[in-house]
Amino acid sequence: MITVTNLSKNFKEIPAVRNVSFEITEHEIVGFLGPNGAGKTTTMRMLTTFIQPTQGKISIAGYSRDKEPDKIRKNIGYLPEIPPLYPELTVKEYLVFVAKLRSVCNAQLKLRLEEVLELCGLADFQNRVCGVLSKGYKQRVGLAQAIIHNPQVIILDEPTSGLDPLQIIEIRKLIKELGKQHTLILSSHILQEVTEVCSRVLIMAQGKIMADDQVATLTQAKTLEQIFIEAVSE
Amino acid sequence: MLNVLKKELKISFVTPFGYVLIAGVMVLSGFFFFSLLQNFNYVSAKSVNIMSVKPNLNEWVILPYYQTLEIILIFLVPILTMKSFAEEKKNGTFEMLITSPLSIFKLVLGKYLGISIVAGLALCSSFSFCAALIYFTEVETLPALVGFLGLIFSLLSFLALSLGVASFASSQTVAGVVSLVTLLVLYAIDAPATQVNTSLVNVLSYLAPSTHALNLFKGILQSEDLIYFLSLIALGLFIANRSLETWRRL
Repeated sequence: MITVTNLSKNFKEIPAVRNVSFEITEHEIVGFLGPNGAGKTTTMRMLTTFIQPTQGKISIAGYSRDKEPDKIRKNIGYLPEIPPLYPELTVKEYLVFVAKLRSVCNAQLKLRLEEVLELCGLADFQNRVCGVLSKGYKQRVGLAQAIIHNPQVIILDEPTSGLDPLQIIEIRKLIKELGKQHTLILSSHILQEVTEVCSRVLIMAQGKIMADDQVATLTQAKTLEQIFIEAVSE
Repeated sequence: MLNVLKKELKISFVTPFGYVLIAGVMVLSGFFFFSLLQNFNYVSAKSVNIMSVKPNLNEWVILPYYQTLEIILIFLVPILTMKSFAEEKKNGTFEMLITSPLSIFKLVLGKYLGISIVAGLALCSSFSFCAALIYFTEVETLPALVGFLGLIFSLLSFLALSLGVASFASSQTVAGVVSLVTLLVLYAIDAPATQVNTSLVNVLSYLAPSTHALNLFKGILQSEDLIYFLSLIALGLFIANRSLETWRRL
């Protein structure tokens, strides 16, 4: 589903991502784990076509990033670290706007909207203005906009950061639910989250991939915490 | 494109922004209109004794009124465009827009039309005073209408240029200040013309929007001026398009 080969990104002369390669198959939930500044967000932004790689190739759902970026844009849903919202619009207005932006056809729009509102627990909030929602609900709207067009790949950048424990549990449940139908990549620096939600983990530090395996395999001999500390301190 | 346009309009009119803008323009233009009309009354009362020719309203009220409005636009337009991209970047919605399949040109055009409609409505409210004048007095209607067309073209070209400038900035303040400086410099670009040689005078005065707007304000409709304004609009939109395109290539 996703193939990344020798991906690098430099900001001016400073390397943020160095020669990263990995492959993700369909319906996998992959966790990007790493300390702040490890290059997780930069890698995700390259996958979403928000920024251009300095070097390397990305292919998503069979489309090359260099040749058919628009096809990739149609097939991904992306939730950045700060959920993108217009504070003036209601939840429903905003989701309709995003759906049209993502070329969801009018015939499907109503059905899709109902499904997504239900799935994200927003049905009772659809007429509220985005600006007045609590952080947890803003995050839900962010998730809803990422899945409204039923994309093959969903990319979530720290989906639970800044939420309270109850909200974290709810969002994780939602992510697991989404993983059944979509290929999912999420970044996090919470180890427990990755073990709970993801089937596979990629540990990044200083722009490089330090470990890449199934969560179950990795945690057989050592705890994820030990592996993480070893990988990061290398 | 229509989707973006609709969103822009919705945001302008669910918040007080659109209404405050229209009310503000009406108050400001009303003030200047009233002053000009008072001035006209004073001059025409005096002219009864001194001159045989009565001053006309087109020359003494409509023309200077439009010229004043043109200057007001220079200050108003940066306020309108400064948040167009900076706010998206702040809300995080810029990332969402750029990673969507929407083409950059449609994004720019949607935004441009959205702002143009809001600003256009505000400008039209200022025309209500002229409309009253046309209805109650013997103002020549056609030149007054052509003059207003000049104002609309000035507005559209200022908005496009200002949007082009704003597309570079991540901060509203920077976008606003740079747009304002750009428009002011463009407006006054023919100011040094009197001190330099003649061929440069022609070029500089051609570049100034006030030269072309003045023709229209006087009621002279010629393709040369319209082409000038249309080129400014195209230039502004082209700059905005290019600057956002490079985002995708960073």
